[in-house]
Amino acid sequence: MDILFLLVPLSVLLALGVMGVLAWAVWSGQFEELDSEGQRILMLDSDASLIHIKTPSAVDQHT
Amino acid sequence: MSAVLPIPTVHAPPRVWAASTATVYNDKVVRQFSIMAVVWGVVTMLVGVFIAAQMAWPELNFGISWLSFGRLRPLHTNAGVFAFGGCALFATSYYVVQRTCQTRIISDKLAAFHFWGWQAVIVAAAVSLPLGYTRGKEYAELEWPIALLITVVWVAYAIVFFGTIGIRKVRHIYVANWFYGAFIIAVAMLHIVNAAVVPAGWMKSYSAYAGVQDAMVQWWYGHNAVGFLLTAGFLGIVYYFIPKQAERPVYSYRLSIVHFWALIFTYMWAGPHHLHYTALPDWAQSLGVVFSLILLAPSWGGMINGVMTLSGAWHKLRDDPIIRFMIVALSFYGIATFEGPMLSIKTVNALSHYTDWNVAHVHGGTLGWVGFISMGALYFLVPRMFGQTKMHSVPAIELHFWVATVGIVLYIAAMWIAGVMQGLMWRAINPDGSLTYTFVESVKATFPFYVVRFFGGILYLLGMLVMAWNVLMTARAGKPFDAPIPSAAAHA
Repeated sequence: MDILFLLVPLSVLLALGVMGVLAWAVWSGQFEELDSEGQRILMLDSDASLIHIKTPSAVDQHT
Repeated sequence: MSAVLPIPTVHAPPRVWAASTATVYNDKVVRQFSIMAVVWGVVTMLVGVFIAAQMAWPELNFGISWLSFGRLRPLHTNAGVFAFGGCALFATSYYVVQRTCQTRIISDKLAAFHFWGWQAVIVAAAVSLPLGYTRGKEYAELEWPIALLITVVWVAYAIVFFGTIGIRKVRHIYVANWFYGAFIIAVAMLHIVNAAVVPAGWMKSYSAYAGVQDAMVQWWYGHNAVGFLLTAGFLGIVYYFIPKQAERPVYSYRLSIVHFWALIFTYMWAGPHHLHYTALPDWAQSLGVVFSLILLAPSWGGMINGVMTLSGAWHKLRDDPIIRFMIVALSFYGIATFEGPMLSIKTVNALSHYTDWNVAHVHGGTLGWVGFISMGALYFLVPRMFGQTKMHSVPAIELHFWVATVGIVLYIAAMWIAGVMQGLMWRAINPDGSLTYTFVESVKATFPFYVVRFFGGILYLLGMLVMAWNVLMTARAGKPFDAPIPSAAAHA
């Protein structure tokens, strides 16, 4: 089972990397104000095609 | 949609690498990958139906080497996972990352290289696999020059995806991007480790690993390909496109984050469940069992989160076939993520291993979960890619849904029955200790189920063809459209 000498260190490194990313996320405020984040994709005008933007006024609606 | 909605205050944008002066998103690459996802979907199903026919009627090999089942089967699996699944993931991830980061992608050129490079990989696979060039490792058959191309293209994709997040105008990284990001990093790692070979010619190589250790690496790769490509990536689709189509936020945003971290921590360890009762050490097999069972929790948590997004709006299931595709996809995800842990239990596995029960499990997951969530997302995307509000024909989406669903049910029911029957026949012993059945008897007994599965596959293919027609008509009715980026600066 010599392959474990590759797989175990690799997996440990990966797990450490993952934990590092989680720590960054918490520290940089990724998990603040979560309630509004779920709503945000619905609010911003992501699908401009739905209002067939031809004039600036359609964009101004959202300012 | 036209009411003025209060926009939440955007936090000060993070330091950017490069000022983005673009006013529209790069939807060209989304459009390209969306169309090719449908094209490769048709190819996948066509090859699938053909090889299903060959299982029932082997004469359909026609004595031609490049039409033989052994060579076409990996063409089908690679087309399904990498061509169809891959293009669907690339299309949706480029769409989602741009809109949730409120910026155009960081490099149009790299994205274009990603698109054309990936099509080159697929064509290389379509040529080399029927010609018999194979590494013999499931879902990793492509020989080393193609594996190298995959690596280069993947690096380009990672640069564009993560680079775009790096120049985002919104501080928060929407949860779907975490799933896409994990998918990209995991697949990179899996591919590089499992593709390690010693070349012995232009299209010939030997694995860097040997024996049961090679098997362990292969199934660490194989199961994580399922977990990160076919699961995490498509969960990214769930967390963006279901809320958008349902016009409601994810049921619990907090749960989505817990779901993400729990899933990626546990998925890595389930691979040994492919190697029960082989030469793999017992403790490694047991580890696979335990983690596969643990995986049930985060998987179902995610499924419930997605389905409950429809809470208070269940009537949409009645009226909107697109949301139906998406929610039924999650149902199949639930079935597959319950069935999987069950199959990982050694005593169950002793019956199911090498039988068609595995085929049933795979196809519930691929046709039901991966297929349906991709189709739902593509039906959302395609009209918008051509400046339309909906597909050319909504009744055709309904037709597709029902035809495909019946197809899936026929397929997996046939294979479930066949699989359990095979397992029971193979272990049946006479009073004197001899085997009751010969292997060929079990093959003969499976014949009717191969026929039913073939018809199930035909239905699924028909559904795919209806989709292709609908996509073509939608594209012809509209014009390629790149959406404007709502100016985040106006809200700062």
